[in-house]
Amino acid sequence: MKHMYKKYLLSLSLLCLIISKTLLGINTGTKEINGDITTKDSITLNYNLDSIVHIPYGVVSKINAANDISVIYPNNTLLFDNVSNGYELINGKVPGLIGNTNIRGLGGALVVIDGIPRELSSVNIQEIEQITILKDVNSSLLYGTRADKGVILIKTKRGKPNEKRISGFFEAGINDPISYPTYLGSADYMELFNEARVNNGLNPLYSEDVIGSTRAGTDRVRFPDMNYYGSEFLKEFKPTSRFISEFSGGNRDAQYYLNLGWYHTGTLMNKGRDESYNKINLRSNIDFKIIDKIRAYVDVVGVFDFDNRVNGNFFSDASTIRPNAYAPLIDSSLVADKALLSSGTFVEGKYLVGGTSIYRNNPYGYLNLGGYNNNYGIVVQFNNGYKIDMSSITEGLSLNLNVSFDFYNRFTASQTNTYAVFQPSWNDDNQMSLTKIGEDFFSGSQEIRNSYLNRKFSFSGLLDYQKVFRNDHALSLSLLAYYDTFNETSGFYTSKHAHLGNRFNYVYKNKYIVDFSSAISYSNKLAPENRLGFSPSVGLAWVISEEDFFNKTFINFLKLRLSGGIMNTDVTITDYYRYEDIFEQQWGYSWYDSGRSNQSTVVSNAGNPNLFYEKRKEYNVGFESLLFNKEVFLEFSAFHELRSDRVTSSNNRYPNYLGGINPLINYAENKFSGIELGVTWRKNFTDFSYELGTSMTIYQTEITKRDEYWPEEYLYRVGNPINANWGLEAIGLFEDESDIQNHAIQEFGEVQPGDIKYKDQNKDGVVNDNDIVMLENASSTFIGGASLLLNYKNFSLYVHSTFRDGSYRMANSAYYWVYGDRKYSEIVKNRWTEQTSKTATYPRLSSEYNSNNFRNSSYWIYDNSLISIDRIQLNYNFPKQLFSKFFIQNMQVYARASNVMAFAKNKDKIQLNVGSEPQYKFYALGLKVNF
Amino acid sequence: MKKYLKSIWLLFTIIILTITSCTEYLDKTIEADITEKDVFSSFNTFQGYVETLYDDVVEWVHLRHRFGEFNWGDDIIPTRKAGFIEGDYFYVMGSGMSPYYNTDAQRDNQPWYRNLVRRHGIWQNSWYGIRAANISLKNLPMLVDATDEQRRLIEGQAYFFRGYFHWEMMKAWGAVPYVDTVFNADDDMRIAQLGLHETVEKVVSDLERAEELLPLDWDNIDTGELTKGFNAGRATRGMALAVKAECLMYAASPLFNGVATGNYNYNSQYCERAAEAAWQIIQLADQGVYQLEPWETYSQMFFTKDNSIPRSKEIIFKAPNRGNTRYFSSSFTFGHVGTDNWYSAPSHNYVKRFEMANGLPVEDPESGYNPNDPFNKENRDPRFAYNILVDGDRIIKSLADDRAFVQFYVGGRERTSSSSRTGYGYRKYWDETINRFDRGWNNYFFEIPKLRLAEIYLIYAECANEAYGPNGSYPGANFTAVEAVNMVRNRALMPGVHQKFLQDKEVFRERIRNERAVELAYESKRWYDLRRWHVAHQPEYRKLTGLNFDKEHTYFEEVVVETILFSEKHYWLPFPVSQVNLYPEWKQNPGW
Repeated sequence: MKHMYKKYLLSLSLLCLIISKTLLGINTGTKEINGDITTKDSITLNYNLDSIVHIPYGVVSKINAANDISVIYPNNTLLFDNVSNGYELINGKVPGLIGNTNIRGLGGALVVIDGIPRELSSVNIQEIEQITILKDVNSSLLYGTRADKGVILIKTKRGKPNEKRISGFFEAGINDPISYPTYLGSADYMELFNEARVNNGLNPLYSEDVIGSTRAGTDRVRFPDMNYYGSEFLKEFKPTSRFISEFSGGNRDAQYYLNLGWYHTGTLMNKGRDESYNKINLRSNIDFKIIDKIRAYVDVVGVFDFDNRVNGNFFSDASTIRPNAYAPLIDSSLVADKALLSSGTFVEGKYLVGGTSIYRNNPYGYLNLGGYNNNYGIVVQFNNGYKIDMSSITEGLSLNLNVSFDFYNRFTASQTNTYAVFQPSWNDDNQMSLTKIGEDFFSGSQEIRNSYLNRKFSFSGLLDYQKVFRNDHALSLSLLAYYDTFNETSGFYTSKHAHLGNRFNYVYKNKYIVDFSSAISYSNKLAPENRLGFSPSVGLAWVISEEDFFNKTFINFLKLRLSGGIMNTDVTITDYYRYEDIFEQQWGYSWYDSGRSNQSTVVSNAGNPNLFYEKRKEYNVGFESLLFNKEVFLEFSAFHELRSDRVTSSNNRYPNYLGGINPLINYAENKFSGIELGVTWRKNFTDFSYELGTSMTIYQTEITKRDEYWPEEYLYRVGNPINANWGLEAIGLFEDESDIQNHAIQEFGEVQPGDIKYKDQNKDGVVNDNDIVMLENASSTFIGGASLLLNYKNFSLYVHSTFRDGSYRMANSAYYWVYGDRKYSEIVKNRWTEQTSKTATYPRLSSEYNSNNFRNSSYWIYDNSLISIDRIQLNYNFPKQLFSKFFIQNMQVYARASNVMAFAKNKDKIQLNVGSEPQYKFYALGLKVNF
Repeated sequence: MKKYLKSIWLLFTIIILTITSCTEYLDKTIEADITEKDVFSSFNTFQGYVETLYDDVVEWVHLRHRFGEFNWGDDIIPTRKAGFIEGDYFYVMGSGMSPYYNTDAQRDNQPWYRNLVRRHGIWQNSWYGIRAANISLKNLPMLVDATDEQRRLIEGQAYFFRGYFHWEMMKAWGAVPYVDTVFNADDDMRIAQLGLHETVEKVVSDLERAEELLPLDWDNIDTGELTKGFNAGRATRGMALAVKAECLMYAASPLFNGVATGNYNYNSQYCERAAEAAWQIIQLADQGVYQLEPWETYSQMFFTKDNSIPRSKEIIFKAPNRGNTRYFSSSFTFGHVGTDNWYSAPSHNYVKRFEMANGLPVEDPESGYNPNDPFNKENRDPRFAYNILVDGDRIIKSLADDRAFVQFYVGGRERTSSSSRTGYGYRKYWDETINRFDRGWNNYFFEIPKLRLAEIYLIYAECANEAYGPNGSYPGANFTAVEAVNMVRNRALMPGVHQKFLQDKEVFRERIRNERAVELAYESKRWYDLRRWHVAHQPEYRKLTGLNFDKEHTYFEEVVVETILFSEKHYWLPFPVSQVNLYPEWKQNPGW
């Protein structure tokens, strides 16, 4: 490996030499590249081919990119689509992007903000100039080993010389809960719980009298029936508002940009302390000239989170505490014992908080009396850089240096109060008496908890050379050195990354493009002789439409591209020193005849000196084209990715001679393949224009190699999708005893009629874990989005939708798996009984844990496909002349709605949140002004 | 131009130097980890590493290993599927609680679990132990901070355990590959199995080296001074000798000899060597190192109720104790007195091996055994009353009502499919205070010795009988096979073997075998013995019988409760399939 490193350096030096030689006698002159292909901004996909695209440590004209990359310009889309976060912004707009930051199914891509890996949440959309999604190896290589799953590159706005801008943005809206879980009321619950107990051979717990009285509902203290999801606790809506202001400007020597934002969300809770969430963003940067050849910049970013919460978890309680568990409120007028009354704290004027020794968390209690948990988060980022123009050495040469410091701190300030709850009981004469459980304790002090701090330092140095020779040869060469360190409160080690990179881009006559990148990474997770990893990649493109023979009648532009590469990554090796034996000391080994002990030592890791980088091997083919008078933009890619040499614990590859502590080995392999398609169709009329766009990805994953051993062929994971639902194959519910007798023995506990019947896959007469099969894919195989923008005079209407297909989920939350003391949801209404045996959709009820029914099986699987209308927005731009006197350049108002509609077979399941806040529809009005 | 070139070169050089110098900077600080040098340079830390080897000795009692899971002979009938009766050894190995393979496959993947809680079976623990022993031997040159004695201790323990762990696996699997080097992950590990006797020789040679290096008693050496009086259980010369004697006896036995040579009879050379090893231990006993526990305190070898660890000068080798054994009560307490019910009951065919007090087997017409009074303890071997719980015995000390007395008759409270299926129960590790009424289990420890002096006498007897006849003795020993058996019998207040069994080697062989069954009952020896003698496939050893009788004891009827499936392949456990699939030189045991 060391040799390769040397060779690499040697060849780089040679390259430099050649370049320097070429310089001799070459007269230089720059030329605008491809100035003739210009189209206007577009919505879904940018097909503005001569626009400048930010790529790692540099820019490139889109037409000269040989890579599979997509670009989004928030500045353009914010004219008609005011999304509130970055995920929404990119979702459904980029071919190959599968939800959030998942590119091609590889998993969370690296988010890079202004050159440094950072959290997407630390930036708000109005601050972003451009988002580049780097999908292939060739484009992401320069970010080192962490870029193994692709990169989402964010470039923030900066001031421009002689362009003073002030703008304001305000939006206010309401979040409208889509759906709540539906649980049975007390009376229904008690009846069904009795049935469950009878099923388990127990006596009913609740008498007919109690159930009758509960149903009558006259005495809610004695026969409680608590409904959490009503107006008692919850408001109709939750408010949200955003305010953002931007200031930018400057002259030739110095420019500034300032963005100040505030985001506020209220609470859905109708009671108690006001909960709220506030976030303040501050981003400022200045670019300035130090001397003629040296420019510098300083960026400062601050993000402050204030999350104020009560000291309790309402939605979790609401989904777990049964309606009859306790009387929530006890009217003080019903209480005879005055001494007891005076020892309690009233809520809502006259009530004591009810409860039992088990249920001491009453929402009336903690919402009103429980204290608070306020979470604070502080992000501070600082960048400082220098651009040194070295054209005195040779024209086109520059050196860029950047140093960044990031800090993140979060903590919780809380006041934890306890309060007494009161449990009523009745004597034979129906006289109520109260038992006080616990004591009121209202803490006067505030406590700081969960304190967490991390800090990151990074440095990059880039030597850049760009030049066009003899008008036809455009050359660009970058050499990069990067490293960063990351420390956090809980971590013992400083995690460090370092790599060298280079990029070489050559364009001949705007027709032939060669793009070569490589990186040398150094990983201290590997044995010293294996630490250097060399990752090469290459991209080739041919703008075939520039050729003389090409007929441009229908196809105005066509670029074919091909890229491929091998990237080394060590991010999957989570620990250090896994390449050598690790000894660990343990507690004293207690010697057998006494308390005397000796500190014992064990080996906790068997070293594998050959442990090496995991690899991403990839190739792409694709094209970009403009068709039909440039009205249609069409792009297409096909990709094939192999994640090979994946680091895995070698449970089945070694004899047990290693003592059962097996080393990590580079063994497993996953395959990802698919196609990406993007289409935009744009047409302009006099007062009217429309744009229609779609992007989609069809892909599949496959485990191609895995260290595994199973007793049955069908249990092997190899050949199956990476994310899949594995479980037993349910073949209905047992009809009766004879059905059970005639079926294989199910080894998960006693079964009775109404329990789920599973297929005995290996026909060995027993159903156990060896009968598990792959049921359905858990990842979507078809995913994408579609948008429509209509412009008419000063109005515009935008609709964005997303869709997915091919993924399945297991309905296995407590809402669907109801047994024992779990709260009964409406799902159980259609349970199996002898009478409903033909129509039942739910197994028989069980008052204890039922390990036969409640395990992953095809019985619980549901189709997760969805078409969702994500956003609709109607805009009105005020005529410019209206404001010319008020220094207002333009002004826009809009109305928008999010999560408007969904079409899905299992919409009820997909849109339901259990145990947490509901999913919302969002309606808002907004105003934007530019001065 | 040259100037420019120079500058460019300079710049690259600077950048490259920055990066290369930062490879140093990238190295993780290593203060938090222990290096090999820390571990192996001083005696104390080296011994800390070696001590984990003791932890790898599988303790039968440990956690949820139940009786039915290691007494696999004709001695027991468990209440639930244990696998061995059905001949399903893959089930046995794979089932979550097997003492043979691993106990919890999922948690095996967690290094912390593997290290902190030794709750694994023989297979896993042995390989771990072998590796640790090899690492110790390899790193011995690193030991600088130690006396010569201490160096010998480390080396001796490492050899002992390397031999022992191979041997422990061989007893169940036969010839396992013999590993005497430290493999690295990138080494070629395809080592072939040796023949059975060759592997035995490897084990014996390790044990003999341990024998030379280890002391007789750690109390009498300088290193043991610090823990004087508490050194019982540490590897000694006696331990190495005892394992060697057992190993040589197995090698001499029909199964091992048969597999190795094709002759399923005793191998007299190995018999002589086994007798020699046993004789060396008997000499140690004569010197007072070991001593048979007197009958009055017999139970001390097996359990205590005062929160102390069972100990006795009779015990030569046992696994380290891991604390209170209350959880094990499920195996020999019943539903209403215990915590769980996974009962394993003694079979009637086995109970019949307890002789009459006059020294005659119950089948003997002159013995005086009355089939209609099978529970009479007065005229039986005292070990019958000690080991076996019979109908009407007290099981709760503090109660006076009928709950205090066990009901084993047909229809009785303890005669159900989830308690006794045979009409008998255990007493060996248990008395009437170990239950939820008397709560004797709060301070209760029980153990199954691995090797004790009584067995050494029986090893000597078995091998001397084969090599020199009942009244012969190992040259120079002046101690006959008969005398050895009688040592064990007399301790249990039994007369010597009756004269009529002493004339013929074959007849006396059966009495020795019977004596092993009685003296070592329920110490996990029976399955191994039946296999070793190559008799386990014979019908009389496959029938598990129970005794049916009514509450008033008006009738007694022996019934077959289970028949063990045992064919030739069952003489060895199957190797884990994932292992034999790794390379062709490692072959699966025949039939699996």
